[in-house]
Amino acid sequence: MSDDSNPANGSREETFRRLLRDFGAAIQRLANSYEADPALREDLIQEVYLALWQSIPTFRAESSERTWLYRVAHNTAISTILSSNRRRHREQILPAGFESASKVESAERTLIRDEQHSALLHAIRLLPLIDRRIVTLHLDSLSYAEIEQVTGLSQSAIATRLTRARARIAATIGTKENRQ
Amino acid sequence: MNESYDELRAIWSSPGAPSMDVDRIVRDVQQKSNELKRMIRFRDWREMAGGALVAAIFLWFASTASDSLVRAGHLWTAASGVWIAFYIRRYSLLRRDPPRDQSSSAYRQALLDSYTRQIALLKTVKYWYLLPLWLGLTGLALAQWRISGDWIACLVSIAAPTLIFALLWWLNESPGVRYLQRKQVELSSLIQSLEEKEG
Repeated sequence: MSDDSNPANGSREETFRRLLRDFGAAIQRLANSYEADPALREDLIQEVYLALWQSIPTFRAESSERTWLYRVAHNTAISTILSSNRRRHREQILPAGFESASKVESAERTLIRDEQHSALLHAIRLLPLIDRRIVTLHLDSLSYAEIEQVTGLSQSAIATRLTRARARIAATIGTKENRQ
Repeated sequence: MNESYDELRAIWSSPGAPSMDVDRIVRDVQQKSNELKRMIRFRDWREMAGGALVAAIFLWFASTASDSLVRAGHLWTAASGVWIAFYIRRYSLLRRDPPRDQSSSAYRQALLDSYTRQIALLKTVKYWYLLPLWLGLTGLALAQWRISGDWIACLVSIAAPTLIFALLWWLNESPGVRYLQRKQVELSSLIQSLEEKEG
């Protein structure tokens, strides 16, 4: 396979453009779940784009393109977060998450859907990373088998974690709604 | 809000597709990728050039040496330079970031394994780096003694590199390995805490 192409999908640039078109929104949502700070989130998105670009020539169609993309994107997020955590404590992320939610709380003109989305995002960001990854994959409609391929966890562990995460999300959103 | 995943899924996808300047993204990514490639090529070139320089110098010494043992010592040291450059080059290929298209569990393990490989490299530095050079330099000192009969110069020529190499050995195998082991433990606990601790 040449360095710049993938026989299954045409040239590297064509493949990359198609991935952006098909999964651009999913990458943004993924970055949203990892980083509350807009600047760090943008950096993460750029890192994911670069990792995808570099990984295209090695795609072997052993898994679906979708699970391959989520693997690259989540592993890039892990790597980026590990690097940034060596420089700063993770606690610094939390106030940004709260700020984002509280901004929504105080903005009466915000649409209900946006408010619900922010509340959900806030609840997801409070989950442990491993649960956060599983929940976002599940919300992006990946099957248990696909989530297993991305995370390496067994399907029963995924089911258990999803159930537990749903309860935590409900509790977080419930607490937030009660406060309003 | 009803928090079943179907309901959450609708909320999760509600912002819809973001507006993206695809041409700009492609341009930026190509530029960054090329910069990275250039950086890696330069680093590889520098490592190879170091070994080639050592080899060239000692090959030149060998070509001008009149004594066969001295020539053999120079040739051995030149070969050691090439060997070290080859070994570092081979290691630098292993040192690169693990592929990201593996499962998250495998990727985390690969990140930790990269430290294990670096530790193994430092622990074996005496074999692949110090010993070949030490043998070459010691052989040269003995060959010079055979010609000149100056045993003090010979002793100094053997003792000086031996002391320096002993120091390098200790630095690599003691503080060097301890530093990497500490970094590996830190990474492992950081991964553990990030993965399992609530946000």
